[in-house]
Parts: sequence; C-alpha cells; structure tokens
Amino acid sequence: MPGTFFGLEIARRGLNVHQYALEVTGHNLTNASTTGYTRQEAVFKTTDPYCNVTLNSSVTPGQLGTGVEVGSIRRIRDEYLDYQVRRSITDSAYWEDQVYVLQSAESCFADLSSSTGTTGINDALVNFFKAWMDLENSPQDTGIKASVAELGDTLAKMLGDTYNQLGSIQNNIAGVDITGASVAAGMLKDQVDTANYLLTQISTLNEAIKKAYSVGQQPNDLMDQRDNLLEQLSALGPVEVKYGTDASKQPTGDIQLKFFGYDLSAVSESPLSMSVDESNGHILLSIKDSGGDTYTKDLTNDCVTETGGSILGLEAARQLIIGFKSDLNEMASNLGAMIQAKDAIIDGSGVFFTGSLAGGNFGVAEDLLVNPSLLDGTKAGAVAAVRDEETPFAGAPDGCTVEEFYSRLLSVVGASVKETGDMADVQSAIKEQMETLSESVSGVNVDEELTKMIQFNYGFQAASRVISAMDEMLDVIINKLF
Amino acid sequence: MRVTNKLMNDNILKNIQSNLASLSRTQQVIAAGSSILRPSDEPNTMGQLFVSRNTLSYNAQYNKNIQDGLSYLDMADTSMGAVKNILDKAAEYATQAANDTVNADDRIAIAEQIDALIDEAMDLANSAVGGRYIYAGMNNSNPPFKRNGDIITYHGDTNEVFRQVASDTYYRIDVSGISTDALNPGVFGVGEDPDLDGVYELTDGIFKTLFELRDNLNNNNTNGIESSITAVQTDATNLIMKRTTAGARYQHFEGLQSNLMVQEESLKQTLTNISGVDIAQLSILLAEQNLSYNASLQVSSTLMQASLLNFLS
Repeated sequence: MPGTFFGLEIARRGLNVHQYALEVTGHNLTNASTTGYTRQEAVFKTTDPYCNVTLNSSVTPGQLGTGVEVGSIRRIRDEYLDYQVRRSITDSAYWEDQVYVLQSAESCFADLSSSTGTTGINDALVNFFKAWMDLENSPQDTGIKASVAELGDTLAKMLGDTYNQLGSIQNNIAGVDITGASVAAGMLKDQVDTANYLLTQISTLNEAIKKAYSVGQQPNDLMDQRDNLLEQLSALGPVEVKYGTDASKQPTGDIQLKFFGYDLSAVSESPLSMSVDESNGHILLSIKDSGGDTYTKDLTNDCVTETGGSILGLEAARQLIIGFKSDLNEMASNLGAMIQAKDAIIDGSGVFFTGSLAGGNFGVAEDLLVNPSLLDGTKAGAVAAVRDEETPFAGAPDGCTVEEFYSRLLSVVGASVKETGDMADVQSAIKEQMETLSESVSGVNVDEELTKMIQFNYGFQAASRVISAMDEMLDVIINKLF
Repeated sequence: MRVTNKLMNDNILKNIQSNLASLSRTQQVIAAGSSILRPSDEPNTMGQLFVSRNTLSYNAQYNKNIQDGLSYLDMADTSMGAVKNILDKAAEYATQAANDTVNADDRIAIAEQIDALIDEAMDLANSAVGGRYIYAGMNNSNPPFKRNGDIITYHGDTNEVFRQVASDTYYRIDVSGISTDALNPGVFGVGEDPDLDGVYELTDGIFKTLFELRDNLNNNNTNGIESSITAVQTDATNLIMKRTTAGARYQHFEGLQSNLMVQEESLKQTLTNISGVDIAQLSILLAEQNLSYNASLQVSSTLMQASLLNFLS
C-alpha cells in the first residue's frame, strides 16, 4: 500500500509537469519568429509505478501509477532534412552570388539601355566608321578629319570606361594586392573572414554542447545556434556533418565538420586564409585542419568543376568577368592593328589608336587629336572598309568583324547572366522547398501552441482539483473521524 | 503538411514580391518600347539585333552617298545641257558667219560673241555642288578651270570620284572634266601636264575649238570657219555621249535608292520581330498582373489577420 499522502504527491507532480510544459509552450511562442529556432516539446512520461514485489507483498490488482514527469525536452527536428537543406543552400549560393555580380557586369554594356540606343560601344563603333566614310567622300575636309579623331576618342573612352567598370567589379570580388601575393579586400575576402568566424564559433559551441551532454542534458538552444551557423557556413562552401556517438551508440552532442572536404571540427582562430599564386594569378585558399595540417585549394581551378558555395561562385564570376575584359581588350587592340595596317596617317606611322585597355591608356594618338589634318583622306575608304574585314580572335579563331565580335561578346555576357540566373532560380526553388519542409517540421505554429497552452492550462487546473479532492478526503480522515 | 505561421508569411512575402517584379518588368518593357532591355533577355538574338541595327545605320550613310551622287549627276546633266546649248549657238553663229554675205567686220563682231560664249562655258566648267567642283576630279575644293587671256588651264586632277553605295560597292558619280587620253576625251576635252606641276594645259576640246573658231572669225578665214563648224559638231557629239552616260548613272542611283528603301523596310520589320513590343497585348498583360497583385494583397491581409488569438477569451 502506498502512504496516506501519496495522492497529493501525484497531483503535485501533475502541477509541476504542466507548469513546465506551459513554460516550454511560452518559449516556443516567443521564439516563433526567431531565425533557426526549432520548436521544443516537453516529453511527458509516467513515473515508475508503485510496486514493491517481495515474497510477502500482498497481491494487488495491477501496479499503481505514481503520476507524471517530464522525461526530456525534445527538439523537433529532422537531421536528414538538415542535411538536404544545407546541401541545397550550398548549391544555390554558388549561383545566386554569381547572378548578382554578373548582372552588374551586364549593366556596364549600355547598348540596349535606351530605346534609341545611342549610348553603347556598338553605336560608337558604327559612328566611328561612318565618320571615315564621310572623310572618304571629302578627303580634304579638315572638319570631317576632326570629327573622325573626335569619334575615335569617344569610342576609345567608351571602351576604356566599360573595361574599367568591369575591372572595378572584378576588384569588388577580390582586390588583389599590388604586390600580387595576397587578396587585400573584396567580397571573396569578406566571405573567407565570415567562414573563419563561423568555424571558430561552431568549434566553441561544439565544446559547450559536448559538456552539456556529458552531464546528461540536451542543450536545445545551443544546438539551434550550431545548426543555424552550419546553414550559414554551407552558403559559403560545401559542408559535411557527422554526429558523434559514444561506444553505446548514444549521441555525444559532438559533430565532425568537414568544410570543402577538410576536417575543421575543432579549430582555433582563422583556419582559412587566401593568397595569390604569382605565377598565374590563381587565388589559393589555405586550410589548416583540426589536425594542424595545412592544405591548399586552388579556387581558380576548382570553381569550374565544383559548383557549391558562394566562395567558388564568386571566383567563377570573377573568371567570367576577366574573360569579358580580355575580349574587350582584344577587340580594341585588333581594331587598332587593323586601322594601323591601312596606313592612313600622313606621318607614315599609321598609328590611330595607341596604348591598350589592359594598360589603361587606350586612346587616339595624341598628335592626331591636336592636329587631325594629319589623317590621310585618300585612305579613309580603306579604313572604313575595316568594318567588313574579318580578323581572328582568341574566341573566334575563324575570324569575324569587330562589330560581329562585339555583338558576340554581348551574347556571351547575356547568356552567362541568363544561364546563371536560370540555375539560381532552379536551385533556390529547391532550397525553398527544402526549407519549407524543414520549417514544416521544426517551425512554430502559433495556433498549435495556443491550443497546447489551453490544454496544459486545463491539465494544471485538473491537477489542482485533485489536490483539493485529496484535501477534502484527508480532512475527513484527520479532523472528522474521531 | 504541417503549416506554420512563418512559412505562410514567407510565402505571402515571396508571392507579393514576384507579382511586383513581373509588374515592374512589364512597365519597363512598355516604357522602353523594346522587349529586350538587357543582353540576358535574349542572348541568342544579339548578333541578329546588332547586324540589323548597324545595317540600318550604315544604310543611312549609303543613302547619303547616293543622294550625293544624285546631286552630282544632276548638276553634271544640267551643266552639260547648258554647254550643249553654247555649242549649238556657236555652231549657229559659225554657220551664219560662213555665209559669203557676211563681211570681215561682221565676223569680228561674231568673234566677240564667241568669246563671250567661252566665258559662259568656263562658268559651266566650274559648276559646283556643296562647295565641290564636279569637273575637278578629287582635287575639287577650288575652281578647276582658269582663263588667262587666251590660255585656259585645268587645276583639278584626273581621278575619278566614287561613292560607296553598299558594303564594298563603289559607283562613279562624276563625269571627267578632262582626260589625258585623246581617244577618250573628258567633257571639256584633253589636257596634259608634262611638267607634273598639277596644272594641265588643254590640248583639245571645247575651249580649243571655240578659240580656233574665234580666231578664224577674227582672221576672216572662211575655210577655217568651215572646219571649226565640223570641230564644234564633233565636240557636241562627244558631249551628248557624256550626257547619256551621266543619265544612265543617274537612273542607276535612283534604282539603288529605292532598293535601299525596300531593304530598310525589311530590316525594320526584322528589328520589330526581334525586339518590338505589342502595346495592346502588353496593356492587357499589365492589367492582368495588376489584378493578381491586388488579389494577392487582398488575400494576404485576410490570412495574416486570422489567428486563434481572435477567438480566445
């Protein structure tokens, strides 16, 4: 037989447990909008039943229940979904940052920005050739010679501006130090810094969680924080997570974290650093793993074959922009060379355009701007015919005209934006789907919590009722029997 | 599937955002009057788009060149017509002077009229279009013919003047003032520049014929007058030949011009096909998008207010 006050104890447990559950519900409700929060649930379980099985014990019907307790506070989360969410974040981040960068590169080419279209390089090129055609008609006209030089200057400046704008976008991604050995600034450096911060934070959290586990607790909110940081990290590069277990296959709270395939579970400060290979301009990422070994990852090589995370995505975008720049540079130098071959300058040098875009000094020869009458009008027809002349480019070895090459470049720019945009759309749709599934499992539904609140509230009231019923019963026994 | 409030709010935001994005895109297309606002809108049509646009632009230049050619040839035709009249008049005077009833004094008087005709022909030989002298070859910024007493010199050159009328296609727009080839004289005959100083002496042609006629009249040389009449007629025949050539070229240029216009039409059609917008269609699209935007706002505001809280006492 249990003791006299045993019923009071059951009711007290009921009060405690329902209060506890109400507090958990409150925690859920107040964190309904917290990023990375996982809803929690107080898991009720019955306490051990009253029984004292000995040889002498009387045989009572069944075992007497002893009430309820909170077995654990559970995080409602699906680890397999987490894996998929992180995977989809990695995939979509690779494309999303590229789109952002390539769209700004695309806007450097102003040819389609106005309906009349008098703003772009293409039109400047056409106007330049038309000026030569005018000069062909009036070979001695100094006014037209001046306008040829002037339009050449406009074209050169436009090419230069576009080239420099692309250059500054390239530097925004990775500002390579003048000495050539390091990446001094830019989005890429910011992301590597962020990755360093996240990795050290995760290591610290790992320790704290392990300690809590070792004393038998489940630190739900710390684990939420860690999962949130892992998601942020997976936007930067591919992340692999393995949950640690002890000899009896019980979770230890520890994780084994691999970033870009290297073990970075326990790191101190700045495990990642960037440098530039001076021989080929490649950006290298050095990774110091948990074991203290240093590995080098060639981002420039890997950004084409590996398509995960914004660090590789940004480097891929940077390579595309470097390609656009070199196309533009080649176009300017080929144009200069083709005009020079026509020998249309009276001093015999034939040099109309000097310098190069890459050198930052592409322009009409200074003496021609000062004295345009040096232009040889009788050669103007030959120069104007350059527009129909095909010349081999690196991107078009069979040869094409300068105008064709430029429209080809715009196609390439447009296609790269469109392709990455389409990929980003697809990948972020997948990511959203995954996040929706995860949110569906782990998110807080306010109506649901309110319903539980009412349920626990009544549970608490019911337990109180049990106490007052016990009270009345005991009152009879203690005060009224004798 | 379990739905949470955050999920629903995120979806509401996302849908409102995508509705707004398509509205904004349609607005931009209508405002710009072009369905291609960035290369990424239609990367594959860039080549075609630019070829059409550039060809249109160059065609404007060719059209200008053709116009130039037409005015050159027009002026050549007019001036050659006037020179023909002068030759006719000279022939008439000469025939009159060849008559036995005309005495030496009368012939001297007629000679003066011939001299005046020479000056008139000089003016015609120095005809110009837009500051360019049409009988001066490429060296055409100054009057090519100069008269100094009884000597007329030519200061132009014997280059032919061409205009580009299509890519890499050139047509001649002038008629030579003089030539150095006696078998194929220019409008004003043949000249030579033995000392290569750029000044040609006229060895044959209208001016020489007229001078001879005048001198024969002054000298009362009736035989000479007779042979001058033949010379004037030869020159007139040569002139008619040149004028016919110019007329044929004029017609050719007119043909080219109408070809260009046809081409322009079809290029503009191509451009419209690539990047044109159908305002009526887009307006309907805009109205549809606006409707769905409004509807999504309406539904969202209803949904966001729904909560169990409203019903708990």
